[in-house]
Amino acid sequence: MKNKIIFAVICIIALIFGFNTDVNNLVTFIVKPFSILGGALRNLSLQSGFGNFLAILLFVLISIIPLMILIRMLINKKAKILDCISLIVISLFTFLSIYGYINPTILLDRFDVYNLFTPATENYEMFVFILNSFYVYILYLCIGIYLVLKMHFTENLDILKIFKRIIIVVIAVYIFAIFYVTIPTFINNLSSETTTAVTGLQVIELFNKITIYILLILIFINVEKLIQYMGQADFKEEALSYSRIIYKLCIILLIAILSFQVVNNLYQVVFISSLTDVNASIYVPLDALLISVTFFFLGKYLTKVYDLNEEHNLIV
Amino acid sequence: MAIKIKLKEMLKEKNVTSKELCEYVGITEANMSILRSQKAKGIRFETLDKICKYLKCKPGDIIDYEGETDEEN
Repeated sequence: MKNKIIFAVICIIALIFGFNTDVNNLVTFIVKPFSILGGALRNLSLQSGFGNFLAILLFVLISIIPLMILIRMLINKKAKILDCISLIVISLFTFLSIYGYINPTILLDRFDVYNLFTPATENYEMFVFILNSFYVYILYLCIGIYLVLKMHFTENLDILKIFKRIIIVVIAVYIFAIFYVTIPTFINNLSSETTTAVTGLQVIELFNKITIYILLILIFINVEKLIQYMGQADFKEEALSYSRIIYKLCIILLIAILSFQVVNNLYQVVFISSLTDVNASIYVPLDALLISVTFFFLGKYLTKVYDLNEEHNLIV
Repeated sequence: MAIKIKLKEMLKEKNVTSKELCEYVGITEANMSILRSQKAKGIRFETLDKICKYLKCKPGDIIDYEGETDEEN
C-alpha cells in the first residue's frame, strides 16, 4: 500500500513538472536539480553581502559532499584507491555542474557566440541550460562508472539487493516517461490546426507508448517480487507463479510492440490522403524488445528450474 | 513405477519406529513419509546405506521390482 502511494505521488509530480517545462525529456530532467540549485544560489548571492557569503558556503558544502564521504571512509579505513580517485573527480564535477548555473558566463566566455547570446536574447536560459548539461552528464557518468567498478571489486556483494534497487529506479523512470514525457507531449501537441487523421495517428502513438511502458512496469514489478524468492535456498511455488506471469507479460509485450506497428502502418495507408506526413516504418523499441525477450527466457528457465527442484526434493 | 519401497514392512518386521530411523539416517519425517508412500523419485546411496545398516538388511529387502521381466516375456 505504501509503495502504491509513493508511486502515485511520483506520477502526480511528474505530471505537474511535465506540463510546466518547455523540454520534456528524461535526460534534461536529471539536469534540472542542478539548474534549480544553481539558480537559487545565484539569486541568494545577489541579495546582499551576507547572502553572497551564505551562497558561497552552501555551494562549497554541497560540492565537497563526495569528499566528506571519502574522509569518512578514510577514517574508518575502508577507502581504496578507486574511492579516492572517483570521489575527488565526482566532487570536482559536482562543483562545476552547480557553478555553471551560478555563473553562466563561465562557459559562454569560451564561445564566440557570447557576443550573440546575452541575457536579453530569446532562449538564452535554454542555451545556458543545455551548455551546462555537459558537466552534469559527465558527473552522472562518473558516478555510474564508480558504482560499477565498486560493485566489481566488492567482496560479498548483495547482488539481489542491488538488483532490486535498480529495478525500483527503472520502474520510477518508466512512470516518469509516461507522466512527464508522453502524456504532456501529446496534450501539448494537440492543436486545432491538425486534421482529425493526424490526431488519430497521435492517439495511436500515445497508446503505443503507454501500453509498452505499462507492460514494462508490470514486468519489472513482478521481477522485483521474484527476486525476493531467488535468494532463498528453496525454490518456492510463489517464485514459479511470478516467473510464469513474467513470461506471459513478455509475450503480450512482444505482440503489442509488433501489433502497434501493424496498426500504425495500416492507419497511414487508410488515411494517407488526410495526413500531412507519412512514414512507412518498422520501428521496434530495442530496449523493450530486449527486456521482454530476456525475461521471457528467464521465466521459462525458472519454470524448468522449479521442476528440477521439485524432482530433487523427491530424491531422499 | 514398478519399483516398490518396502520400508513400511521392514520397519514393522524389525520393530523400529519411523522416528528412530529418521534420527539415525539423518533425514526428516517428511522425507521418510515420501519414501514410505512410494512418492520418492530416487534414493541416495548414502541414505540406503544407513537404512540397511540400521535395519540390518540388504537393499533388496527394501527395494523390490514388481514389473514384467524379460524371463516372463
